[in-house]
Amino acid sequence: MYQSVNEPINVIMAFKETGAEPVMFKWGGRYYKVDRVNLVHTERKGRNKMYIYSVTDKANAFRLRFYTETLKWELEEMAIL
Amino acid sequence: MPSITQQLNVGRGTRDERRKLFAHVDMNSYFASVEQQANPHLRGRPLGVCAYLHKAGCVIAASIEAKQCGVKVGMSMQVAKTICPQMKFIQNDPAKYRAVSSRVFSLFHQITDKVEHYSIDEVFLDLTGWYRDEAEAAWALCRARMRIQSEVGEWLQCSVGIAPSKFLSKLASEVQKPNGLTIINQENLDEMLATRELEDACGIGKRIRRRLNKLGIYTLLDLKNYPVGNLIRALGVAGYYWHERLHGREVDRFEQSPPASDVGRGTIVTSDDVPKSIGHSFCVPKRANEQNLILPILIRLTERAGRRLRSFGYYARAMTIQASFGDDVGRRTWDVGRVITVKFVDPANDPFTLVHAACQTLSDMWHDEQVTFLAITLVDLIPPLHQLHLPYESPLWIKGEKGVSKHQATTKAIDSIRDRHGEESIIYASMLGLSADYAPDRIGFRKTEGVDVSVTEINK
Repeated sequence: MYQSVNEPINVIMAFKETGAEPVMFKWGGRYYKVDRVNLVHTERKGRNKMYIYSVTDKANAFRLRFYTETLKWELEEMAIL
Repeated sequence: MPSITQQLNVGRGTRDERRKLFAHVDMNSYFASVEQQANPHLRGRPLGVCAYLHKAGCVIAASIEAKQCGVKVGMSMQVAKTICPQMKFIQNDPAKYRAVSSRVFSLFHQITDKVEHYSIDEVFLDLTGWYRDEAEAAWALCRARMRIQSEVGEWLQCSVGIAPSKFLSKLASEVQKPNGLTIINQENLDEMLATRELEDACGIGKRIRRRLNKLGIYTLLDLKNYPVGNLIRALGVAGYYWHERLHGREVDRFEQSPPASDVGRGTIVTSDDVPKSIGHSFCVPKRANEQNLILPILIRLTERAGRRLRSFGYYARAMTIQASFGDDVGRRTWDVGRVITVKFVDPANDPFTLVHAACQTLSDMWHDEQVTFLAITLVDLIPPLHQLHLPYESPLWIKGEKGVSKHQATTKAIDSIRDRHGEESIIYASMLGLSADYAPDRIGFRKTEGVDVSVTEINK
């Protein structure tokens, strides 16, 4: 169902009153507009905290991972239905 | 005729009991709902969350839609697929569930100061003194439920039970699922108990039910009305507690869970004082045998158990290794295979002693058959004794620091490295290249370790 991708991506963020959310990301030369942020959760690897955004566009679901230590984004997984 | 003192005591007791107010909140189909929250394409479909995506893998959580099709928690993937062919399966993601629980629990910490994190998806609230009556408490909990849906995820649902005791509040939350709210008070207590079977009560299983049936008790109302003296004769002191619980009197301990600011490393965040044992297990796939990964998997399980033991600040006096071989697969793992318990000369919690003992024990019971199941359990846990051993000078001790062994100092350094860089930043050489799929992170039954409530969220 979910496919592992684990590739770096470029992300445009919106900083709102309710928190920071990805608005659009570029992966493999294509732009994906985020329609909805469904869930935000955190994980830790030692002291390194990572934010995981579960987002969807019109057709797919993605898991985007933001590393707070390196300030880098990664497309971790995607699900196509 | 009762004396005036007795009447006064009875009257006072009744008023006190009326003032007591507890709530139990149970997240419905929790793991599956979190997955459906994360991926809207899974919503409205039968979904099973499994520990392993293998036909023999167990469904540890089924979505509400899957339950409506007849799928039950604990079924294998193969059986669930037969019952519900359109069902989708997904592997569990413990970190995600812990993170969502933290956010949900933080909302409950705003309702009352006494919150017990009973499990990853259940919470008890002591509302005594905060709300005047059940209606006011129900209003507050409905608001909390709306906040869960607006701030955490709209797909998350919970059942709420409100009652004058912990036991009755848990019973109440089971009445209406999903997304229900049930109040039990002295007025409707008998009516509620009459409709519930004995096994609906938390703490009554098949064996106690059979014993009660022999006494002519078939419903919880029968149990409530049974003479307490006879109940004590039949069940011992437990009979008295059941009598009190079913009369709405609070006899269960409320274990207050602290928010994150009070939770340091090594603080116990479960509602239990100290676990009786700490263990990890793993169903070993065939490919792990083919790649000679049995020992690395055992080391990973042992390291994880040891790390948890040290986080509690405790030592183990003994270790049990259980392994199933060859044809044992598919049968119940807790009554097959070989089990060996080893006792340590001195209580231990350092990885060197634990891993050495685990590997030695496995080599004693394993004769190169195919391993299908591995489990390690640290038992007989005790706090540090601080007992010095003779002789006072030992080559294993650090010079100038009597009583501090090299093992202890190295363990402390290893734990510091892992705290800073992650659990597998420093590992045994034999574990190099071991995939994270083998013996991954799991959420144990009634475990809430790692679920911390953020103070910033509370202060919002």
